[in-house]
Amino acid sequence: MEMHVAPLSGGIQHVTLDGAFDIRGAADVDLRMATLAGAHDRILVDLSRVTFLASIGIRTLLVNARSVARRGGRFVLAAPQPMVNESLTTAGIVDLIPTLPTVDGAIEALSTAA
Amino acid sequence: MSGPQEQVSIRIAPRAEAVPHLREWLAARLTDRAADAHLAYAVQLCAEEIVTNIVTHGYDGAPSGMIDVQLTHGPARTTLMVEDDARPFDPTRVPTPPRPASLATAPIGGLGVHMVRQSSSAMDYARVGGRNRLAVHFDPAPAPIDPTPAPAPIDKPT
Repeated sequence: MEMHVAPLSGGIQHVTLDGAFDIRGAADVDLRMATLAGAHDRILVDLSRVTFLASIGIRTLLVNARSVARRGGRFVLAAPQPMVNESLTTAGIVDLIPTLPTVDGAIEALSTAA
Repeated sequence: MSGPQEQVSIRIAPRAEAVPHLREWLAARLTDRAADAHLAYAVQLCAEEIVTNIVTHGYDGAPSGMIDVQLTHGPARTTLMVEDDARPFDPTRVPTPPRPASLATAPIGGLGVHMVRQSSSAMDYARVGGRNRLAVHFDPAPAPIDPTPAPAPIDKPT
């Protein structure tokens, strides 16, 4: 899985994941995600190009969202494809990590967050 | 999907590297058979979770034997069957985890079996000849019930 990071205004890190977030995809991005989540307090994970999400990928999202939240930062998910959104809902993640239907909505949520 | 039931199978090594290959193989077989995208996704998700679980937790660091996967696809039911030589493990007996109350207290693991259960219609487990045999069934979703009430009969003046 590919991972691209683009800094936006307001200290937001826009992370775009591209591919299948499965056992191989999680191995591809785990270290970079952890490093990013350890260094930044506003993280937007753009899921629009994620075609598949397994529990191992959800685990990566949870661990990093928790690490950012523990420091009082914000970690949000944006634009999941319908079946990826279903995986997030099934796993109860949408109740734990703010999940916005669009990237613009996610940027707004991060910009207005206290 | 229409037509008779068809069965295909594959044998993979009990290694993490084999899991994406299995998923791609399943996706191609289901696409060949014109299965709908939702079913194809659910079958891949269940295969990924089951086989990842086997290769990660099943062998105490010493994988043995092979994992046999069989896909039976028909108009009435699709079944994914996974057989392995790992230690006995019956996922049908794993309790459903409580819904996590907060990010801080959410358990980080244990979601895989829950996701298999939620994405399928039924699961059967048996220990056969020293192997785990797990069958995961997918039935077509029932047609949504039309919430529109039937129109009231018009009273015709007699």
